[in-house]
Amino acid sequence: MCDPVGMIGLAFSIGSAVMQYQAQQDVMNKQQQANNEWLSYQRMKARQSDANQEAARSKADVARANTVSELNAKNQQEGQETEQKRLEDEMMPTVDAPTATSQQSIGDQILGKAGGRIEQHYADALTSATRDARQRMQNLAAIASTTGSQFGLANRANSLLGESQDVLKLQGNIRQGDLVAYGVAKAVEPIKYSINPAAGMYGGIASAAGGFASKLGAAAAGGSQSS
Amino acid sequence: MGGKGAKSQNSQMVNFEMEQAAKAEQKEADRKYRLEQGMANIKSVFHGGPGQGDPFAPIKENYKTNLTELHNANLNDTYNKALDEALFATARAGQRGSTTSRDIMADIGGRKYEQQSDGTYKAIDYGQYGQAKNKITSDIDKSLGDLNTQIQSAEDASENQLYMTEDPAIAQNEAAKLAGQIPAVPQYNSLGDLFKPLVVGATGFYSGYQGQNDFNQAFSGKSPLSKGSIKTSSG
Repeated sequence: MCDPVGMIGLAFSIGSAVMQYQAQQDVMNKQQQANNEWLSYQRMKARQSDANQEAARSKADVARANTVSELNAKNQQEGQETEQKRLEDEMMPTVDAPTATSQQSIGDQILGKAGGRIEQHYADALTSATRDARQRMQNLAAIASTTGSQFGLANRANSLLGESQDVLKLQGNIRQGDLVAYGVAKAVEPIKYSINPAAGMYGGIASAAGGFASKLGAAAAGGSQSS
Repeated sequence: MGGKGAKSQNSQMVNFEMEQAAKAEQKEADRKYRLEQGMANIKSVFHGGPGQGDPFAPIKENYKTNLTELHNANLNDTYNKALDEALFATARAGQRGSTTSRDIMADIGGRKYEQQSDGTYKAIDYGQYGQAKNKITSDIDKSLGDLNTQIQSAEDASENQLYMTEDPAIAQNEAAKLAGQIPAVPQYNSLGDLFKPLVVGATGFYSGYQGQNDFNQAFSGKSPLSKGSIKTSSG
């Protein structure tokens, strides 16, 4: 009734199953751990890359915002007025009293020499000429400051845009390089586990032995019954 | 019977990949540092280091001084010639000291000093002289603007070199070379005729001549006091 060989075989079978189960559990546990580690690594690299990208993007954005602010209507108007004033001072320089009184133009030298109506006519002509000249220079300064003078609106805008372009180009280049480096980290794969061949071998042997023992037990039981 | 049931299939490969990732990260950090260093070097060549002024200020000042002197020399020469011509022409036409001669003087122009409310004086260049001075100021301003454009172009070329080589030392050398190639002396282009040709008293002179001629014919050489000396339409 209780076949000892069969029991041995059963024990071997049970043992084999247990070994197989343990091996599989070990694989699953280790794989899970490897996956978790890989996930942590990828998350860390992603955070680092995001931080680098954000730092570069912020620098570029600051440069862009500064330029946009400088190019708004109010600042452009201030820039134009400053340039207009600079040009007016270039064309109508300020001198001190000693310089002004010591230097007389030819026109001023003959002023007061004619007398009468000719003198009045000449004084009026001089006044008209200087008034016209002042107006002309103010108009010229206003026009030049809005167009192509050294620091006029056109050159001012080009200069500001050029400065921010330098920053944008550099930060863009840095972001591209960071993405390339992150790409290498993203390509790292998780460690893959499989059942240890040695553990499989022992299980297989136990399974085979159990099967043999079962057969042996069955054969022995059949022989004792017939006798 | 037991023993570890799990065996890794690709741990070596994974280790290699992680090593490569670490190297790529370090390489990128080094490259970023070189780019930032190179950019700072270029900026110092073209804009001066911290606390330093504009390295091109002496060149810009030289441009302004040089062009001002050259243009003013030409202007003063032609201005004096215009004044001389006005003096002689009005004298030849018998209009010296007249309103015509003073109109001509106002038209040729000069520099007048106008007192401001704060006691200082503003120099006002009027007439053709004033227009010539304005032309000179515009020309000098344009030359300085062109100089700024040249400097900017050299800086852009240096930055392109940096991005190609990613070597801050090479970029700095290239920047210094390009900055040195910017001419220290401006190109002088004469502004041409600064004063309009003077036509003084041609009409007045001719009228005067013709008037005298007509008078002579009318008197037929006789004394204006003798009878029949004035021709009339009937005779």
